[in-house]
Amino acid sequence: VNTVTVGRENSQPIELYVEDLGSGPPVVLLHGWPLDGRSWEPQIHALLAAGHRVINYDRRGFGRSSRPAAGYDFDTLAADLDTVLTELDVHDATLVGFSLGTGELSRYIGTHGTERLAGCVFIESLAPSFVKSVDNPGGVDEAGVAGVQEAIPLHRRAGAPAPRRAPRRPLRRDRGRPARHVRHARGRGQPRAALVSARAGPGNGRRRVARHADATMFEAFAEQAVETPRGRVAVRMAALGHERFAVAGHDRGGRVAYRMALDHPETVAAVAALDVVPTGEVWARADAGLAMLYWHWAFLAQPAPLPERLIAAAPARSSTSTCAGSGSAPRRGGTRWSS
Amino acid sequence: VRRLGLGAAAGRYPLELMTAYRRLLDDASTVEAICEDYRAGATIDREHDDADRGRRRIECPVLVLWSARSALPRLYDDVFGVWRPWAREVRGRGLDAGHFLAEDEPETAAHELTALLDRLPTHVTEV
Repeated sequence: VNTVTVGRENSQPIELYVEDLGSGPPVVLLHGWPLDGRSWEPQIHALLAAGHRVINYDRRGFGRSSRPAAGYDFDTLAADLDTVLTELDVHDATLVGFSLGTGELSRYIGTHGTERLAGCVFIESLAPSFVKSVDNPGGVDEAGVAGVQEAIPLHRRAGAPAPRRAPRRPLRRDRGRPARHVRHARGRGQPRAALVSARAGPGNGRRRVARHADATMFEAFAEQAVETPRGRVAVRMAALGHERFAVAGHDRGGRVAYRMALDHPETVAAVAALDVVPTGEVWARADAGLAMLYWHWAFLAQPAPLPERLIAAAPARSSTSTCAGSGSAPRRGGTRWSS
Repeated sequence: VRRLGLGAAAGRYPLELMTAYRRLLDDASTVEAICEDYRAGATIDREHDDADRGRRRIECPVLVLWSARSALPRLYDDVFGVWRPWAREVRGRGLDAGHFLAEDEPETAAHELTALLDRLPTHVTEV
C-alpha cells in the first residue's frame, strides 16, 4: 500500500493512501465529502492521457487512509496536503479541489502560499462560505449543516473495517490539543469546517473521549480483553504511555474491567462494566432460575472438548449462536439446545 | 447471531457487521475461546472474586449499565444492589436495550461514559 505518514496519534502513525501516477505537469486531486480518491477515476484516465502526473489521495478519515480521532480542521488538512506535496517532491502543481477539497485547497494557499503551485481549480467551492447567510444566499442552511454533521460519525463507522480487523484500542483519555477547529468553524470568510464541529463534542473542548460515539470500540475492547490477561492490559497501556486510565468493558470485557480495578487500583482511574455483575456473585447466588436462564454458563464450562464438539456437530448454525451465550435471556423459557 | 441480541436495534447493525459477527461464531477457534472464557468463569475468576468478597473493594468510580430487557433484572431483584458492596462509589442503571448496549444505544452509552470520565482530573498534554 502506498502511504504518506502525516503524523501520529498516540501509538500509531496517521497514514494517507496516496497514488502517484504517470508523468508530466503534476495535477493533485482533492476529493469531496464523503467520497475518497476513487471518485476521480474518470478524470485520472483523461489527465494521464493528456500527459500529466496525477497525484490522488484519500483525506484522513476517508477511504483507505487512517481514521484518527482528531485533526479534521482545515489547518491540519492543509498541513496534510503540504506533507504530501513535500514527500512526493511536487512542484508547479495544479491543485484541484472538489467540494470539501476546496476547503483544504484554500487553507493551503492561505497558510502555505503558492510557491509550489502552477494553478488551482475550485469545483463546487466551499469558499468563501459554506453556511447560508445574507452575503452568501446560495449557501447551505442550518438543517443542511446539521445533516452533514450528523452523518459524519455514521460515515466513519460504515467505512470502518469489521470488528475483527478493527484496531484494538481500549478506551483511554485523549491527550490531544484543545479544539481549535471550533474557532475556525466560526471564522468569518473562512471555509466552514462543518466536518469538524461534529467531532468537537460538548464541554469546554479541553478534554474529549476518543471516539466515544463509536460503538465498535466497545466490541474491539471486549475482544482484546478476552484474548489478553488483565495484567497484560495494564502493561500494554503503560507501554503506550498511559500510566493511569479508565477501563470500559462489555460482557467479558466488563469482568476484566472490574477485576483490573481490584487488582491494579493504582492504574485504573474509573471503570464502566456493561451488562454484567461480578462473576463470583453469579455463582454465589446460583439457583434453579440461573440454571435455566444462564445454562450456557455451566454447559460451556464443561471440560474440553465436550462443548466444542457438540457445537461443531450442531446441524443448524443458529445453535452455535444460542450456545455461545451472551447472557441475554431467551425470549421464551425452556430454550432447547438445537433450535 | 440474532439470538444473542445482535441486530436487535434497527439501523445500528450494518450488514457487514452482522456478517463479521456471524463469521466469528462459525470459527472453531472462536468457539473454543468462548468455552475457555466460561471455564475460567467457573473456576479461577470465581476464586478471585470469592477471595475479595467483603475484603477488598474497588476504590475508583464505577459505572454499571445493564439491559433492562435481558437476563440480569430477571435473575436479580436489585442489580445495582449486587454491585454496591464491590465498590466505594458506584453508579448505574438499566437501559432500554438488549445485551449489546453499546451498539443498541450508542449515544446513551457514550453519554454515560462521558459523564463518568468528566469526573476524573483533567490531563491535557500539548502534542
